[in-house]
Amino acid sequence: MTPITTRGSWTDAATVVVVGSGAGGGAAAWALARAGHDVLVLEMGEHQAPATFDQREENMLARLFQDAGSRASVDYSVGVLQGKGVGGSTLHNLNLCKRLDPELLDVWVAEHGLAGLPARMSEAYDVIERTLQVSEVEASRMNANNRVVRDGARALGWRNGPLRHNRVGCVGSGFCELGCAYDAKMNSARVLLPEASARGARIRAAARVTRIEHAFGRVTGVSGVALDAAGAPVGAFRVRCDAVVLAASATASSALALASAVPDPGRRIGRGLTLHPGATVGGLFNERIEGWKGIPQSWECTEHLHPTDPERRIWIVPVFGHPVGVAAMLPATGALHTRLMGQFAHLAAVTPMLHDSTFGHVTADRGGRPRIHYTPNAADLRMMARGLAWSAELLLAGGAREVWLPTAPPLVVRTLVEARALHDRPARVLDPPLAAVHPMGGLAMGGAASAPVDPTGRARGLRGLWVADGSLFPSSTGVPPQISIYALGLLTGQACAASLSA
Amino acid sequence: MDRRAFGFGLAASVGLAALGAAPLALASERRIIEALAGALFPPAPGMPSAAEVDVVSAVGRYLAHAPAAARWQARGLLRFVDAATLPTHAARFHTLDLAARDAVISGWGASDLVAQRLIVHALRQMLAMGYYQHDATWAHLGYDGPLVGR
Repeated sequence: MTPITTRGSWTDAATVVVVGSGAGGGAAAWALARAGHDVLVLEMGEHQAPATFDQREENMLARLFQDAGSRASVDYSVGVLQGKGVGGSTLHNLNLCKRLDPELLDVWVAEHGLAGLPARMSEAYDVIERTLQVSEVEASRMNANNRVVRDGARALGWRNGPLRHNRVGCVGSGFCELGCAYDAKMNSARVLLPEASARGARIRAAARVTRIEHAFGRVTGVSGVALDAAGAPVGAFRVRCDAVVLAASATASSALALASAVPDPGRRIGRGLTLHPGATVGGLFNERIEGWKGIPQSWECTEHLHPTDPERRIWIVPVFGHPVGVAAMLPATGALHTRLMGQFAHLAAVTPMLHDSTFGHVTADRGGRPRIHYTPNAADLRMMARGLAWSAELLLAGGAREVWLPTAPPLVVRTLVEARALHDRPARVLDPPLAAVHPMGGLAMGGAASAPVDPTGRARGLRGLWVADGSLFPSSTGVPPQISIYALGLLTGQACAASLSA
Repeated sequence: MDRRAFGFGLAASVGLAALGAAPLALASERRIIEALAGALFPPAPGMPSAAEVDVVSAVGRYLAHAPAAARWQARGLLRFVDAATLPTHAARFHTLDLAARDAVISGWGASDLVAQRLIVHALRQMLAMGYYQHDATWAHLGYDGPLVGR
């Protein structure tokens, strides 16, 4: 795979343009190329060779994350981390491959007219998991932070289990969130795009699409700006095409559709945004944990997660990072912060992630970039407060001598009784600070005519426009969406390919 | 949002707009950044100070990758925070001693006003990048740094 990077203006033509090269775009391009179509993938980020990943936060955040990791909702209540580069967020994600709960799919069938989706998803999961060599992480590779979660959940009698990943050749460096320098992620960049490229697909990097061109109700092309290595415009481009597959992320795809004035009779484009936000709870242990070493997330606690129970909407997993990330996540300032960081090697941390009921929305700024409007509702704040308390219980049961909660002011608990007393603590915006890595929705699929996208991934308002990313989810999934985005990208790619061949 | 919160938010917004719009060289904010970093992350014995690891340059490099609006807001935020202690302390933030700066930051971090909590959150995110990216801070943490290139 040799992506083209043009530092100036250019024009091109293809049968189908895929906007974005992450999980959804990679899978769609793969399916389209396998079907023999002339595919051009456009990615706003750079092509990044894994061998150049230097494992330093100050460099890799700028290289792999939108806005150098500084993106947030308009009211700053939630930080939103989204990837860039050829491979999109699959370059920095933690390789979690968790299928959607069948009960959630049943809800989507009943409430969103998605009959047949569970069976199609099941087949797509099989294909993608086989292609990306998804497997359970071996118990022998579990690091101490994950053992805390496992042991804590077992001690409490809470439901828990191993996670499945798409990684082959993993050396357990622990730098996954900064890109894998060992190229062990079986992701879009390593697997799908190279095969698509081998079948004739072309990939252009540093090309940010700013408009879907259309006339008389159908797609005619895309246009945008060519970028330099720092992301500054250095030219313009235009591509003629018969079809466009949007896979620029759950925020950017909506923004692009809005900026392009894609017809939207139901006025639903950009609506229904969920973020699956989480907070960070840290526990101090007598023994060294060294949470930055090894595979970051290989065990989960699902005791408080059920797709249809409004009182069980918390998924708890280990979380850790490197000094900058951990210092930013820890709750305290001043001498307390210094004390906690001084015990960095003895810290374990988990994140309660919220199956959110809040629906935000996306708008586009003057440059077509996404603006994220999302403020957690009262029910979600209450559930997050409970998630903090459950996380504290888990860490204490796993052996922590004290647990720090990211509340304002920071709270410390040392016993299960103290932790349980926090179940009904009122939560507020930025108390705790929330971060999200799984934005979803905005171009939701549905059976109703008001849904902007039909159940096959075809946009209703514009012929030749398709959607293949996390925008499609009609509600929060409550779990990491990576493998489901791959699956939906595959399904959309197949449907688009069949349409083009008809 | 109550009137006090609204007032603080409005003042912050106006401050950001008025002060952030001025053309600034990051070096001119060195004292503010170092005073904030010292209050947020006071070095333990053996840890370098914010000045010793040149937090200012590191923050500048980080902001260079952020969108123009974020850079603009960050610079405005620094100026706003420095001026925000004038009514309460009759002095700019960067001139306060460490105990006073710590009290201001911890008070805002625990405030009922979301705007004050937001300021501390934003500063912590920005200055953590400036401070802890430096190798000289790692030994105290027991962190052994990148594996590549060893």
